[in-house]
Amino acid sequence: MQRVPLDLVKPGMVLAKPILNEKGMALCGEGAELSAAMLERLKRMDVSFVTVKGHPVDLGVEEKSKEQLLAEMQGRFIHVEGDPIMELIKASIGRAIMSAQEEGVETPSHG
Amino acid sequence: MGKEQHIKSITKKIQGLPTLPHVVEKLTKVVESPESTAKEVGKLIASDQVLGAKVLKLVNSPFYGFPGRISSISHAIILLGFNVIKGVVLSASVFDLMERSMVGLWEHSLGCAVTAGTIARRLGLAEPEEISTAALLHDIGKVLIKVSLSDDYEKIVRVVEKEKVSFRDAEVSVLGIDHAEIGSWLSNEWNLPEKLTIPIAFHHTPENTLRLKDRAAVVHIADSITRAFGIGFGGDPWVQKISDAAWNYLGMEKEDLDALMQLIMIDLEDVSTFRF
Repeated sequence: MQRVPLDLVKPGMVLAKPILNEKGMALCGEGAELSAAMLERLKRMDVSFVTVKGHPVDLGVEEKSKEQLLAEMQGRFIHVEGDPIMELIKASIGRAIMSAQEEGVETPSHG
Repeated sequence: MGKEQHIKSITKKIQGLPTLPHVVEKLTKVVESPESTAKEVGKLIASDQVLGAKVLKLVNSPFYGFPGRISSISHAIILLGFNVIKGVVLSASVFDLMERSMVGLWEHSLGCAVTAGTIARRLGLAEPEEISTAALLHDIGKVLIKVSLSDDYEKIVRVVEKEKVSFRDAEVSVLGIDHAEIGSWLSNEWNLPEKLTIPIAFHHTPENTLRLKDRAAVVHIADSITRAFGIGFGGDPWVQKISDAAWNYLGMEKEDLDALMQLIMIDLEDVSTFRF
């Protein structure tokens, strides 16, 4: 799944998470295919982001490779290098980052 | 000079507390009265429309596990309890202050609330919503330093930049005390319940509290993990060491860490797009 600014959402994309309004009420459920009319309505409701299935939009500079994310995460551990618990956590988060990224790339955009 | 006296001498410098909406002060009194009903408290919060809307938005956020299902504040009180509502009202009230104090602190706090809730549920601890709420407020002391001790705040920021130490170490070198101690003092001034005050006071030293140690330990661990994922900004970019005692106390060594981290990562995705 991918979180996409509403401006970049195209009709036909499928919601991977429900869209919630100000009060947290679901405006649109998971699995719904977005139509042009719905997108127009969401714009008027000040919705700024939606989460869609697959990885349909190239966000350019904002996109980071999993290797980049991993290296940045590891860099934040510089003050706790060698601490057994912190090493366990670092390794575990590293595996989470690597596996999540692969899923995002592999899922077909209308999956 | 003893620690207590030192804290007193610092807090003496604080000129007036950050002002809270009138409703929050009233709320404290109403919540303390055993005769208050959820309906009365709900009505009071809703009388400040902006605050009421923020509270509804927060309680319906994915962080509390009832997304989209709470339609009124009195309903929220019944589901989440007075302590959570009080914490949420405070969080919503200090949100603007937090945003202005330190860019990214609000996001760090939300991330910490999400992570703490996920850990608490995973461990099967009681009242995970209250633990989340304590995590949401854990760095409130940093807000007070920025707002009320702004010269010292600037010094602290410079020490972090120059010496590459944590914000907390820089606080201790400039002020002699840290934001947890200042936060503890503030939460007492605000008459917060112990269930929020203790995790705020001990989120860096959970081994030092005898009471509510599990809650302090969860907030402590969540703080570190939120930093590890790079969510928000708490004054410096580094992950801080998790106390061995806190880790062992919660029995974290028995947990499936990979499963937990995956869960936290998914939950944290909601933080970056949550808007008031």
